[in-house]
Amino acid sequence: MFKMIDRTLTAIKLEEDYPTGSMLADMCQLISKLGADYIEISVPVLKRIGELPMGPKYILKADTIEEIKKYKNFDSYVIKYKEDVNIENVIHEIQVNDAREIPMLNRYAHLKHVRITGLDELMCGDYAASMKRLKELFVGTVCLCPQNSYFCATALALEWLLSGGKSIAVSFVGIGGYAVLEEILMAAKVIMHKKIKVDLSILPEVTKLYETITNRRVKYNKPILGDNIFAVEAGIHADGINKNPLTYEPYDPETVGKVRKIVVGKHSGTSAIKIKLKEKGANLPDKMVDKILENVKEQSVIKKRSLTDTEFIHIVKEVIASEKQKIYC
Amino acid sequence: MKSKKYIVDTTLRDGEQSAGIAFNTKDKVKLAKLMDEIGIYQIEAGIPAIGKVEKEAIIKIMANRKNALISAWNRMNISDIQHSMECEPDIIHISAPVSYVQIYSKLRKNKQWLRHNLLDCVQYAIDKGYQVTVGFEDASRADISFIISLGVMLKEAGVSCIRYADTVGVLTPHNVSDVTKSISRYTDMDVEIHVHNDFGMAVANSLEAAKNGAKYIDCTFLGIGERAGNCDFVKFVKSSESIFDCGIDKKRALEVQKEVYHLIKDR
Repeated sequence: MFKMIDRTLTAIKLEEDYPTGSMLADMCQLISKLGADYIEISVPVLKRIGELPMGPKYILKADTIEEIKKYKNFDSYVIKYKEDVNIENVIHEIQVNDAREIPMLNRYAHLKHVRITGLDELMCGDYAASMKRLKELFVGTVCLCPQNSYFCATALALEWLLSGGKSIAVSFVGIGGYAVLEEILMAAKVIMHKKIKVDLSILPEVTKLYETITNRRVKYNKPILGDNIFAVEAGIHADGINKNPLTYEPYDPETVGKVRKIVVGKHSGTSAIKIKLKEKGANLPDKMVDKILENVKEQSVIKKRSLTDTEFIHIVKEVIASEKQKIYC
Repeated sequence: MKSKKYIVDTTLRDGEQSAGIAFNTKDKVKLAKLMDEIGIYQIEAGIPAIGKVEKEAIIKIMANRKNALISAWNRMNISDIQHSMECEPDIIHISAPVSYVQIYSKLRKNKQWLRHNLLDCVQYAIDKGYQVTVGFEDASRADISFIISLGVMLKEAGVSCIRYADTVGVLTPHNVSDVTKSISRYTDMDVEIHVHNDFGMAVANSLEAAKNGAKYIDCTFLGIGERAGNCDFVKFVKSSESIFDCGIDKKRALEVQKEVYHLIKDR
């Protein structure tokens, strides 16, 4: 298994978002529960929290060697590479922005623990060769922390692990522009078929705390976390999921604390209408289902969105009333 | 010299298909016009089988377009294709589910049925004079040998491009590189890559496919699409600009993105 260092706490902007110490302490515990092996904190975060919660393992991100000497109780430290730092349990962070700089890293080959940060554009070239070179260069542990300005950080972190890399640095939601913790966890579980022993159904709770701390809403379609990722409207998708959820879902929504929902709108088919009617305890003849579908599509185009359950029930009632009227006319 | 790649924009089909989004005719026609102006190669304009409103939009898009090719999306049945033909698009795209779970659980058919039915549909559209592309739905969970055998069959039938769809977003860069190379090598057909963003790897997977021979890249503005969405148009163009020429006016692409945002912001 690989080691995952979480950088969320050091990426939160303390001066802009004003999180309380207890919020940050809760975040440390939740991220640890998600399976991060180490929580990276900084001196300002430490000061804000006060006493760190017991349980998680912490790494201190130090700006100076004096900070390392002052805060002695950490298992390990991470510091931007400085020649005069020669301490056993320090991870030396080296920023590399271009794959062409990799061969020049041989001057750091003697370091025992290294974190390579950057390499945003690695996917544009032969990333596999670059990763191989990185592993060959260093005798010690290499932690990769790809950055995300090319929108490939998660993919690079995952490829690093798939090619034998042992350590990555990530953050929740990708805050700070890093590979995304929850995407890596689920990819490890679903794509790499790793046994993830942690309970990922707490993800909505972590999301809520993240939103409170940062005062930013997680996007409705954010992978793993988004509110809308298990909503289904399209006719073939609703039909497929009704027959077997695996047809259109990469994993069970419950794994990440979510539920699937069928919504109706412009793209619905008769199956979706029937599923929705069944949800509401109704079973209507095909002719009425067709009429309901026609009205649903029409209303959805007018409103330029899917319909709410209330709007759907209203249409159903109208269609039933209109059919009854026909019978009694 | 940078290698040339072609963007297939599916904002008006897969993007709109995402739960909660519905464009009306006016929106679709306006967006297609803007997309046409910024250098998009092909606009997947919608699904005619949805009904009258969708067909009306696609017919207007066809009437307005100046440069882009306009395609219409179809399930693998003659009725859907007939709906598309009413819109007279440049390309009829037929989607064929190819994974076991799709064939056996959703369609409740078998591979043999799929092979025959797909060929019938393709032949029907080609005989009516249409250019046809075929999408392999859920290809990333299907056997590559089955995909290649279907590709060989389709090439003989007159199809020159197949869409490899990562329908549930489970591809990784090294996988997409392998399958893209295999399809190109063993079918000699053009490959169009269509990925979803379930694990946040849509841009990386599209880049890797393009690097390994995919000629066409499916994107949507703001990455809208089923579940976590598709490959984000602007992000792909930005991240690939050092190695590919997609022929896109980047400044104006941001304006189209704003327009799409404006239309969906209240969803």
